[in-house]
Amino acid sequence: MSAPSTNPEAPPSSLVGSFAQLIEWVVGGVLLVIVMLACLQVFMRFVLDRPLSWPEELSTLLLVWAVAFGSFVAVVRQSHLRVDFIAAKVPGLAGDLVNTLSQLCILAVACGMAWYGWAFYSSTAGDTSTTLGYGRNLYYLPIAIAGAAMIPAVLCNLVAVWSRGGAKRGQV
Amino acid sequence: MSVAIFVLAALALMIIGVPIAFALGAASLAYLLWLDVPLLAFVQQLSKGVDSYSLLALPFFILAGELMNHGGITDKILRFTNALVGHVKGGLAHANVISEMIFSGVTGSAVADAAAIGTVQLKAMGDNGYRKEFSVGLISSAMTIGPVIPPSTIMVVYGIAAAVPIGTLFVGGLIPGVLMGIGLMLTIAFMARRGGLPKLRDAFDMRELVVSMREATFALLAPVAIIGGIVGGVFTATEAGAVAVAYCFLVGKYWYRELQWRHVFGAFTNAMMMTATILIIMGMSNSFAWLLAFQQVPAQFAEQLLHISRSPEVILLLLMGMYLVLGCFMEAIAIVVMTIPVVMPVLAQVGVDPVHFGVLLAVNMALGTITPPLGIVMYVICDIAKVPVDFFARSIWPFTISLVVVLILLTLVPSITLALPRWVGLL
Repeated sequence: MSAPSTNPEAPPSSLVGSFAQLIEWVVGGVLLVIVMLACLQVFMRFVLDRPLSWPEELSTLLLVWAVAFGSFVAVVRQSHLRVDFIAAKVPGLAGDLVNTLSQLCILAVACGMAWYGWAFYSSTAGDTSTTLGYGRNLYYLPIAIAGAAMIPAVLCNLVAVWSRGGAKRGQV
Repeated sequence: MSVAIFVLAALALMIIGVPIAFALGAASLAYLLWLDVPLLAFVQQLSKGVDSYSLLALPFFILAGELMNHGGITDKILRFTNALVGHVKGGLAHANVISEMIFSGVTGSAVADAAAIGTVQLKAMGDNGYRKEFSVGLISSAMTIGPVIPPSTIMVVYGIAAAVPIGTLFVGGLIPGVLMGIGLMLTIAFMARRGGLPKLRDAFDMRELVVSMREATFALLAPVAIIGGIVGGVFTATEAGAVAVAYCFLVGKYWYRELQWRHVFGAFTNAMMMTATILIIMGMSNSFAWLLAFQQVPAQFAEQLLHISRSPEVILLLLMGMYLVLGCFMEAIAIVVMTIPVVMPVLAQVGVDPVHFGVLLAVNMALGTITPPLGIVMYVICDIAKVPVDFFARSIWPFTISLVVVLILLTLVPSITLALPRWVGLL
């Protein structure tokens, strides 16, 4: 099983890759904000004795967005947790077919996330959060956006699989 | 029957290399289509699986571990434990186990620990004349203490899935985690007597111990502050994670002065990326678990299991066996999210304490990270040590036996786990 790290065989830098890099920095920044909110909460409750309720709600919303977009970055980098001991050992065309099947599964899920994420976001427009009053459907929007963003990323991965595989087979 | 087909389909996709989250997601979507259930439920359950304040403990403790390593805290702890037990036979091996017990008090993940300190420990043991087989087996096994001694990512996930207070689970994990360490140290002592493991130094050096302890004071205080804060009700388990981050940052940056800003930025992005890959599995597993509940699998499972026995010990032993097998083939977070709704009704009927079960599950899932063919710590250590899986499998068995003995002991004697939470008034 591969740990979450950048896959050395991931596609070279491209528009999608640069965008993923930018998003990676943003989600790191979001974690910084979440840590600060949690520390603020502890400080307000135990030092000033004035507990706040909104940081919890905001942190949870930020977490959902960061996870969705972090997941998109991991698709671009091909660094999602996976069991790679069979995939890594299958050579040549069969290996490319296994990789293609893997990418097609991601594509199917990404399409589901994009299409039904948007549908669910649209159908839950009336609900609002308890303390900050934002739309509860903001929890579903990142799923739709991240799913849509994954689609071109998967297509890039597929092109990379076949161009790399074709080149290797051509050399043989 | 159709449930079994879709579970097997998800497993098959995982085995051929589809990322775990997407294998579960694809199987869930296919199953929803098969059942003709509106696919909006997939998105709803996916979001619900991630939408929890308690889950923030995950990135916090991963981040604290990253900052601890870059901030020099890890080195100070290793120097202290070497000074403490380096003079006995197999001293460095004992020191590595004690170090892992201390690291576990700040980080909560075996994988994070393996990736962070596995390289340092393997090199040190190699330089000190340990056989590679022994080093690989010991270091991997010691990593399993990480998810048991609080804080623990598995306990956070279980606490949310089973609606059990995470702070109570953390306190319950303390004695079992220490017992795992003692079990490993007894194995080392036995092997040292038979095979003559090397010493790090010839005699106990009191001066080195005092110096290293003084240097490591702030590092050693980190677990005390975190666990003490939770037990004392100063902060919740999630807030403890944020406090741990702040503590590791301040100590590494301004006391030890080893933490660079580039390390800090890197730690934040690494921690969030690791969290995203874990939590997307949790979200997708949640969709799958919802489908299992929708198909009334928990009720059927309870009926079948209670047909075998109504003894809590027998049920627990059966479940532990099942989880040990599952742990060989699946990722821990996915197992917990998917099986807890199925298992909890049975536990409630036979009167098993959910805190006891949660701690047993953490020990069990930790073992799953080192058991072939799909243990995640196993792959990290194999990668670092440049050894194949069969070499790894040969190296871990003496240590795995001692850990399984501890697991059986904990299963049959619940008071070992529950004594501390009761003593501090959490139960």
